[in-house]
Amino acid sequence: MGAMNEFKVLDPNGHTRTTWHPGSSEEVESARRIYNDLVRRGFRAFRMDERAGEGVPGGAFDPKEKETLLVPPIRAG
Amino acid sequence: MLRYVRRSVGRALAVRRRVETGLFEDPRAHERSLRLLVQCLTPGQRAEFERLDAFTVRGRSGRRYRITYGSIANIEVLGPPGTGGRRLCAGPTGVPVPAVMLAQKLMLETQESEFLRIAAQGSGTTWTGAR
Repeated sequence: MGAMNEFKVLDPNGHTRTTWHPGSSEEVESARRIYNDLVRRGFRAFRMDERAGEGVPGGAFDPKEKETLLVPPIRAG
Repeated sequence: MLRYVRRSVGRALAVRRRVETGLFEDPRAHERSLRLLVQCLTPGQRAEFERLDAFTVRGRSGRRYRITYGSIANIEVLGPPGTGGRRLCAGPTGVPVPAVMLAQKLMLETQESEFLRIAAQGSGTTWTGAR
């Protein structure tokens, strides 16, 4: 089935992972729905290169992306 | 490494005390978010965080910021000597402190002007350059 891709959502639990096999259309669609819902609610996506410690702002859900972080809306304090 | 473990344990105990008094989140959530933060730092930032509980990021403008352990006005705008006390206060709410710091790092490194625009709306931001 191959490796799983994932996105992590920063939340009160630290973070929550959503994983999918890129070859499974059912899993991809389920992950896409969750991702799109979060983006609609103001979450920001960052494609992560953890080895380099760098993130790149992400756009639409990409099922081939290995690792994405979703950050809740930023508010002024 | 030993110092880092000691600091982590100290932080976890402090979090546990706050949980016991109903003031803070689950220590497991805190530990999970701390691990993720450390994974997402550059090697230089990781070394700095182990030593100082803080790390430096650079925005697209070239300006540098120090993110210290915390979630309220915890970002110092770095500049020449004598320009201290310039702070930014913005981040996600309802997440453990390390998750706040990770969000601040990602925003400042990649969407600096947007982060400054948001921070300027809050009373915790003391840097007029952000307004």
